[in-house]
Amino acid sequence: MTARLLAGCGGAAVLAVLWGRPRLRSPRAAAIALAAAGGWPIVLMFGPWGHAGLSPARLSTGLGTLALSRVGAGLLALTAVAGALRHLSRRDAQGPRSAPIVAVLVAPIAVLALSARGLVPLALLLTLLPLAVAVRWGRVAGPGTLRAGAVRSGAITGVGLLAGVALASTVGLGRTAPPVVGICLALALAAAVGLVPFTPWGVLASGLPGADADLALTWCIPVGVLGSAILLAGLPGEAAAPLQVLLLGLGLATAVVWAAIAAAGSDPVRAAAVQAADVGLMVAGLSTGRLDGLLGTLLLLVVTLLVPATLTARAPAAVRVAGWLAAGGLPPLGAFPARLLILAAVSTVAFTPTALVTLAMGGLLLAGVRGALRGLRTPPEGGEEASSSAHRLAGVSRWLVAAAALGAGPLGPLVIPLVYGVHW
Amino acid sequence: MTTPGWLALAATCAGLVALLADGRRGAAVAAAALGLGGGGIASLAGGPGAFLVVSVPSGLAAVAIAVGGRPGPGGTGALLVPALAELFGARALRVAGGVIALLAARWLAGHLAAGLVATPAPVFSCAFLWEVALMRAGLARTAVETAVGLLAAAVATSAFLLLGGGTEKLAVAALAVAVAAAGCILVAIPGWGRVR
Repeated sequence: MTARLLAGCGGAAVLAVLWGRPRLRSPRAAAIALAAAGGWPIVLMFGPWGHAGLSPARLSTGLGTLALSRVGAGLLALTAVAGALRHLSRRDAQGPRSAPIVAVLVAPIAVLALSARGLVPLALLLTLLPLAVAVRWGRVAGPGTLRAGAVRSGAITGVGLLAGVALASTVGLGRTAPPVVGICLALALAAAVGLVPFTPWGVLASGLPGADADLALTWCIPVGVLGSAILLAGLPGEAAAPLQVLLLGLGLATAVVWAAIAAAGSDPVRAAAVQAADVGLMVAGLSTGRLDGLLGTLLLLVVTLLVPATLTARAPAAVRVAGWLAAGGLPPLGAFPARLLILAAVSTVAFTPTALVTLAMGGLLLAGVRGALRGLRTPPEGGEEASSSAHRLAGVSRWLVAAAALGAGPLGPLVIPLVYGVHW
Repeated sequence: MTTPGWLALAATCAGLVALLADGRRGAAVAAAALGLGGGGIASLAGGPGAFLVVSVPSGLAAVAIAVGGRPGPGGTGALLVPALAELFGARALRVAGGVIALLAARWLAGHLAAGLVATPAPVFSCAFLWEVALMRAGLARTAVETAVGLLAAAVATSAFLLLGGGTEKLAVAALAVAVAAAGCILVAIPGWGRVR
C-alpha cells in the first residue's frame, strides 16, 4: 500500500511539474498529460504491487468488513479517466493551467483519504479535501459565496467528523449516547458531500472555469461518498445505527428536493440539481447497509462522473441528448439500473423511503427528458468545429463518453467488477 | 476542587479566550490558549507527554500566525450567518454563541463518557472546545481563522481520545493536532492567509 501511495502521489507531482512548464501547455501536451493522468491510477490498480492490488474487494452486507483497497483504487482510476475525458471533450474552453495546482492540492489528499486505515486520519483527510478546494476556489474566483460555501462545508465537516470519531470510540463504554455521535457525523458527512441543508458541490462550482469546477465532481463527491461508506463500516454498531437513520433521511430529502428542482428548473441549474439528487440517492443507498445499495452507489458514481462531459455547450445535440437520457435514467439506460439497485436496497427499510426514492427517480427522469428535448432544440455553441486534430480528439471523446454513460448502467455486471473489483 | 476540575476550568477559560480573541493577534492568542487548555486536559490521562503532544504543535501554530499571519482585508463578516453578522459583528455573535455553547456543553457532558477520568468536568471542556471550534470556523473571515477553528476541533478531539484511551491513543492524538497545526502554519504564510 505504501508503494502504491508513493507511486500515486509521485505521479501526480510529476504531472504537475510537466504541466506547469509553459511549453507543455499546448492542446496536444494537455491531451498527453491528461491521458497520463488517467493512466497512473490504472497502473496503481493493476501494477506489480503484490496480490492485494488484484484481489477482489471484500464486501459484506450489514456494514461489516469493507476492504476498500481495490474499490478505492478503482474509484481513483475512474475519476482520473473521467476527468481526463471531460477535459478533452471541452478542450476549447479552458487551458490546463489550473490543473497542476489542483492535482498537487487535491489528488494526494484523495489518495490518502481512500487509503486511510484509522477513523481519525480519515476524518482529517476528509476535512482537508473541501478546505483545499475552498482555498483554490478562493484564489480563482475571488471573494464571494462560492468560497464561503466551500469553507463552511469544510469547517462543519472537520469539526463534526473529528468530534464524531472521538466520541464514537467511547460509545461502548456505556454513557456516551449513540445519537450524539450520529448527529455529529451525519452533519459532517452531509456537509462533505452536499446533502440538505448544505449547498451541493455542483451548485457551488457553477460559474467556475474548467478544471476548477471539476474539482468538486472529480474529488469531493466520490471521495466523500466512499469516505462515508468507510466510516459507516468502521464505526461500532451502536454508533452506526443512528448515523444510518440520519443519513437515510438526509439522503432521501436531498434526492427529492433536488430532483424536484431538476424537473422544474432551467438548464443551468438542471445538471447540478440532477447531480445533487444522485448524491442523495447514493448516501441513502449506502445507509441501508445492504450490498444492493453499495453496488447501486458505485454504479451511479460511474454514470455521474461521465455525464458532465456530454453536457458542455459545444457538444453536438445528439451527444447532449444521450447525456441527458443517461443522467435522467431512461430505462434501461444510464443511471436507471443503479437507481433501481438503490430502490431495492431502500425497499427493505420501509414503505415511505421506497416511495420517496421512486418519486425522486420520476423527477430525475422528467428532468432528463426535458434536458434532452432542450438539447435537441439548442444548436452547439460556436457552430461547426474546425477540423484540427485537437477538435477531432474532442469530438471523439464526447461520443466515447456519451456511449459509456448510456451503456454503464445496463452493463453494470461487467462495469462494477472491472472498475471496482467487486463481484456482482 | 480536584485537579481534573481545575484543569477543566482552565481549559474552559482557554476555550472562551479562543472564542473571543479577535483583532490583529486574535488568531495567534486563540491558538496558544487552545494548546495550553487542551494540553492540560490531555495530561490528565496521558501525563506530560500528552501535554506536549497537544501544546507544542499549537504553540508552533501560534508563533507562525503571530509572525506571518495577517488578517484579511474586508471579509464577509460571518460565513454561517452573514446577515446577522452585518447587524452585530463577529465578536457579538461569538459572545452569544459562547453562552449557548456553555449550556449545550453542560447538557452534552451528561451524555458522554471519556473512560479513564471519573469526573465529567474534562468531558464538558472537550464538548465546549468542539463548540468553540464550530463557531470559530463558522464565523471565520479569513483562512487563518478557519484554520484556528479546525485546530480547536483537533485539540478537543486529541484531548478526548487521550481521556478515553490513555497513552495508547497518543499517536492518533498527535497526528490530529499536528495536521491541524500544519494547516495553520501553511495558511499563515503571507499571501495564503489573505483569502478574502
